[in-house]
Amino acid sequence: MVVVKASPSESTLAGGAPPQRSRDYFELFGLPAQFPIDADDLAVRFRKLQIRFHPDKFVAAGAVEQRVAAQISADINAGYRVLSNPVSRARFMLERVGMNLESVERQPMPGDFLLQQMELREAAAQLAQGDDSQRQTLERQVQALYQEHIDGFQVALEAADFDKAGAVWQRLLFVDKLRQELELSTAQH
Amino acid sequence: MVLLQIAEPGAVAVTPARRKIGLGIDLGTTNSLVAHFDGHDINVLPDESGHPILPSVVHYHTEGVTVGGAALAAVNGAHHDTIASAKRFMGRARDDVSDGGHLLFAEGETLAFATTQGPKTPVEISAEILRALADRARTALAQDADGVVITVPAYFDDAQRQATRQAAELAGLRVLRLLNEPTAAAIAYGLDSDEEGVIAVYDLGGGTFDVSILRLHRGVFEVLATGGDSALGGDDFDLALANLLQHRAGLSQLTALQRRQLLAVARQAKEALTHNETIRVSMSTVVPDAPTVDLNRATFNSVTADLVNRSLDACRQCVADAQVSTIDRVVLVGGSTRMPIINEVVAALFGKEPLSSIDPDLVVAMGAARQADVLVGNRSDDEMVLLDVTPLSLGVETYGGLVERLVPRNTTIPVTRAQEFTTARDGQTGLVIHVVQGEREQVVDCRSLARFELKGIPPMVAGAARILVTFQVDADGLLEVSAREETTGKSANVVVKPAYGLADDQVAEMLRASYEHAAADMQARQLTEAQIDARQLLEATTAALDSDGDLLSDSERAALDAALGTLRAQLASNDIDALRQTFDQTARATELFAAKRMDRSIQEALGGLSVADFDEGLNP
Repeated sequence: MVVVKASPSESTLAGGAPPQRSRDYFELFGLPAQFPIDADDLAVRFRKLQIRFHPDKFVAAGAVEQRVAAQISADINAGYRVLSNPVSRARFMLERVGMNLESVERQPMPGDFLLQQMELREAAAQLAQGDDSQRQTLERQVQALYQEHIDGFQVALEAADFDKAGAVWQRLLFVDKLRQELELSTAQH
Repeated sequence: MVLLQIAEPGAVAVTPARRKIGLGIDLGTTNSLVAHFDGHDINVLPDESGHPILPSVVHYHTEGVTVGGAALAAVNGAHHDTIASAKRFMGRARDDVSDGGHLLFAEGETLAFATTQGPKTPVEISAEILRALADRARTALAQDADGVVITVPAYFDDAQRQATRQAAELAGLRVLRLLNEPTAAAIAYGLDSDEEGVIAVYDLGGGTFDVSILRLHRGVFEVLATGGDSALGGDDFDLALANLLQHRAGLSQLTALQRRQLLAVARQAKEALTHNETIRVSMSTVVPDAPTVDLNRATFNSVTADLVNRSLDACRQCVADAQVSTIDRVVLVGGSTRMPIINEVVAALFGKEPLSSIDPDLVVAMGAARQADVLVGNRSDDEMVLLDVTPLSLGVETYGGLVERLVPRNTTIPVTRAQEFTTARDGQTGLVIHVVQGEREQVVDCRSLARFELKGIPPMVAGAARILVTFQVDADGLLEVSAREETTGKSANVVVKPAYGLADDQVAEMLRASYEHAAADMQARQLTEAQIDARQLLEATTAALDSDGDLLSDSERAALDAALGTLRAQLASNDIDALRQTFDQTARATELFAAKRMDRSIQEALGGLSVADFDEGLNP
């Protein structure tokens, strides 16, 4: 059984979507908009912000304040998640300078990169049970490739070459996916 | 209702006139407890005879309702009227449950039990337990509670959480927060020892199993991952043992009453095996001439091995999700962790001897009491915060019956996540948004939370419409979903709240019924409350304007002043509806100002961190 309440978006105080304001997460965390981030420092900032804005701190406040604070708290959580991970942080930086990521993702990719990905995926699929040395070799190879793309992204970004940064990010997505799948298979192995 | 003082953390320090009463309630499957923090100690409040534990059993009889030990004593009599383990049915629809055990379902779509007093839903039954606990606290503290924190299994889904909130509402309690049980236990341990590090909490209760991994760091309790099984508990161990005993004693064809007595024997045997390697079990209470059965711990362990392994699988998944390399401490929670096998396997899995220095039956209520004290406002300057997560992934159904996840499991709450969807065919003017919860790819394998239709989309070619679906999960873990078509100026917006068991208006009706003799009083009280709300809004906003008025432009200031003036004028009137309406309008008018003030305080919150970064980041 479901209760459905339909209402115009601004009609009720308690319900409805909050005012949607897209936040600059760098600004929210008081950080310069740079790709390298000190993870420990980010964690400290995250905790300081949540100690102030978490809904638990507004239990006695008015409805308006509760709602505004809850949205900030959600933004802090989202910002922490986005900035913590290099791949999502890269994505956010591209969005921030107005790149259309849908069109970036539709760009054709270099043939040699795709070929390399296919070979690596094949090697991952063929990893035999218990063959730890082969697994480790492959993991090192993928990790190096990942780091290479992270570095490449940073160089392109620093040169303000956003098209190139976008292209590197597109490839980084592939490498990161492979890396995660490999980690998962190692954990289950 | 309680009069609340408006206190914005960090802004104006308001000294409470008296210490407020916040209660921690552990609403368990088999046992429930209430605890209170008095500023020095956490006290689990006992009944008149000194027992802290209230069995979660409700007995409906012609003279009224009995809860707890007395209801348990009545079990052997009119047992259909005596309901235990109602928590297992919370937030469940009639179709979800095949078997009510010894209980009889009432006719109708809603899941309810047939009793002497008519159909009773799990929400109503839980409300009776909550009332009994609140009464106990009132007697012990000679005061009503200002607010309560109720614990729920971390693995409870949205519908189960909604149902718990409804039960509290029905019992007339103000819920400060629904708190996950393992998190509550971690608070009790964490605050006790003041230590830092990563804690794993293994919580095996009567009917539910949870595992959580948390990081404690400078007063911040951060849940990294949680997992479990909301249908695995000590009851299942009793059942497995009962089946073995029945088989060994060669008992067939037991009546419902005998079956129930057998379960009681099994439970006693399980408890006896905690302290003895071998025991002799008499089943004469079940069948007078039944043979006695010799039982040892190894046999018990082997018939319950599947149950133990299910809990360990959940632990392994949780560790993987938490992405931690070391676990510093392991905590055992729930009476079922007294089984020696649990200690053994948990120690082996985590490579640490588990802690159980706080009574595993009491620890959840104690942690909840501590958190209730903070939330009720006794320690507003507290540098402690609790960051919990969603236990299960949330998503919507897309083409082909597949799930598109918007909020993955173990996302820190509160969370707002939006995603765009589009139409599948030309001229499509409506679409169904089916909200599901679960980890599987196929919709049929997940739990359906809500289904609603977004109508009034202007006709466009397929793929042109942009429908933004927004999921919001609040700090109680409760979900709200809204959807809006974005390409045109016209927008539709729908808010969905899943409500299993009872609809909101049913709850309202029940509350009204309980106040029926006091209708006039109610009206007067409502007017007083509305006036208090209005005065508080006026005072708080005026104070805020004094300190932060510079944030508003002249025209914004004029608009806000006008809104405040209208509300002030309305205060003298006795028209409650008009007052409420003006209040809502004024509250909305303060929203922009509130947002600007919060933004300003972001800077304060980060205070003490490197100023260079600060300037660069925050100044335009």
